[in-house]
Order: sequence, then structure tokens, then C-alpha cells
Amino acid sequence: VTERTPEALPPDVAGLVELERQTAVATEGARVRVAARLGLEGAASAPGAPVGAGGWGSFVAPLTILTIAAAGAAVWLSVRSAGEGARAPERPQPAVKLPVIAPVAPPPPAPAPAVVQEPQAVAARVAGPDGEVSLLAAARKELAAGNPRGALALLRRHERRWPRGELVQEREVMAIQALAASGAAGEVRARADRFLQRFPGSTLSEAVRQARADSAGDAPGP
Amino acid sequence: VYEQQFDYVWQSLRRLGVGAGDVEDAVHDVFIVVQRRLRDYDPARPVRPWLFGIAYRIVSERRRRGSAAEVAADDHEVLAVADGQPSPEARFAAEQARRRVHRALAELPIEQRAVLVMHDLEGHSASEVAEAIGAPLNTVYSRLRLARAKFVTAVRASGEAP
Repeated sequence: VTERTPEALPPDVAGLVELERQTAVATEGARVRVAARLGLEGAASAPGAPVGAGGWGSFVAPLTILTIAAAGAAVWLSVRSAGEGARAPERPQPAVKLPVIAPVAPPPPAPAPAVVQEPQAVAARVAGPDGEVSLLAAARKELAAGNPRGALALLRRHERRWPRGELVQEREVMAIQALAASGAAGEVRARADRFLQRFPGSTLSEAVRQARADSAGDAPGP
Repeated sequence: VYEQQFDYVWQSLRRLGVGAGDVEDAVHDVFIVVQRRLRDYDPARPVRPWLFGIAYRIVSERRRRGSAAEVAADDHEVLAVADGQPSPEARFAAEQARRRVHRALAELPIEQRAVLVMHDLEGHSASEVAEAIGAPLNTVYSRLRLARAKFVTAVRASGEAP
């Protein structure tokens, strides 16, 4: 492990690299903008927590139910990607070692410490403007900003782009919440009932029932 | 994590060749993956190699999609000024150095660039590099040797013909 390649960078080049390290990188504006897109508004100005076992609290705290559920789904996703290479036929799949994790419904128990190997397929689904998570994150941001119509538009896009996506449940929950926020109580009921029927025992059922009940309270019942 | 590692992720992405106009999106993508994969992260291990591995995959993916315009080194970036930079001259020199270094990095294939950036610019050990990018240690060493040779040549060439 301590073995080093014999030659290092020659001094003239190393000096330049040293100078390069001194160039400041991101502006504060960029930091805040990205934090906002990630739903970490509070975190951007909060003092950083120490890195380590206790340090994750400040990061995890602001996450919403979507993100928490998505964390579980990510594991799920990587497992399913293993057997479903055919789902992304346009992308050459390099040999990637997948973590050996039992395909338990999200959220799974924390896996044992292991070498983190991220399957390319996961990055493909996340990265880019049409990635599953990117779309849902954008929708959540719209919802949080009080724009349920914008959120619903993004969720419809997710539905078209990822009809059999891995975050369908999360999408449905958010759609129900967005419908509730826009006062469409009837649609909330119908969609919530469809969800409960389609995903009995989902960890998100409680959120769906809650949204349904709240919405029913706002408007005359059936 | 976000607050502490934002600059690291940003700089790593820039070094990997993400243009100034795309880097904000790329940072966002990296932290989205971080959020999703927190469960897989073992807090006993250093966080930066893990982050770099994610950044590397994001960059590779973006390149495959052709969504990230390649490089970057010559773009007219308005740099944030680091606190404690002693003088405008020093800042200018650092900025010149950044351009030369990034331009030289841009000439390397992404696999070699990632190894060089992580090992020589960021000071990670070869085994950390191997784990982060998911390559065998021997591969890391051979890529590093190739990358250094090309990098040194490119940096020196840029000095001769400014």
C-alpha cells in the first residue's frame, strides 16, 4: 500500500501544481444555489459538522421523505440494475462489481462497511437533466416553493421518461402531495387509493394516507 | 458534508475537465448521488476518495452523453478570490498556473486524468485511488506513469509557447 511509483512530478511542474492549488474555486453564490437545488437551504450557511460518524447528522436532517426513501431505493436500484442490463441498452456496460446486498424493499438495514462500487447504471439514472432523481428533486423544489403545478409538470415528465422507474412510489407520493397543495381533493383521493392498492405495505403508505386525510379535511368528502 | 466538501468536489470536477458553465450542475449531481448513497458510506473511511469516485463517474457519464462540453481550461472564468491571497500579482500567477495545469490535464484521457488528479494534485494514496475509481492497483500505477509523462510534457510545452 505504501509503494510509490519511483518518479514524482519534477520540481518545475510541481511548483505550478502548488500554485494551482491556491486558486479559489467556487463562489459563495454557486454554493448557495446548489444547496437550494438540493433542498439544503439551511445547511449552506450552517457551520460545517466534523467529518466522521457524528458528522452526518447535519447533512441528513434537512432531507425530506423523498430523499430518505431514495437512499433506500438507491440500494435497490443497484441490485436491480445487476439483472436488468437490458434496460439501458444504449449504454455499454463495463464490468462493474456490484455490492452484494439483499434486495429488501426500501429502506434496507445499513449494509456492512464495504468497498463502495457505484454501478455506472446508477450514475446514468441520476446524472443529467432527465435522470430519475434529478427530475424528482426538481419537482420537490417546485413543491417546496409553492408551485404545485410546476411540480406536477416535472412529475409527468418523470412518468413519461421513466414509466417503469425505480422511484415510481416516490413520484406518486409527491404527485399526491402536489395535487393536495393545488386543492384537487378528488384527484388526491383517487390517486391515493390507486397507490395504496398498487403498493400495499409500502413504507410510503403512511405519507399517502396522511395526504389523503388532510386533503379530505380541506374539502367536502365523498 | 456539503459545507465542508463543496470546494473539494468543485475543484475535483474542474480538474476532471468540467467547464465553468457546467460545474454547478455537476456538483449538484454529485451531491444527489451522495444523498442517495449515504447508507453505503462507511464513516470510518476518508470521505474525499469516496466523493472523488462519485465525481469521476458523474464526469464519465456526462462525457458519454456529450452533455458536458469538453474543457474548460481556457474559459473566461470569473474566479472567486481566496482569502489571504497576498497580492494581485500572486493571484495572477496562481490563475496562470491554474490555466496551464488544467489545459495540460485536458490533454489526458479521462482515466489517466482522474488518477493524476487524485494522486498528484490531491495527494491521495494509490490504494485510495484504486478504490475510488474501481480499478486494480497495478492499473492505477500504470495510468499514473503514463499520465505524468504526458502531463509534464504538456505543462512544459505551454510554458514555452504562452
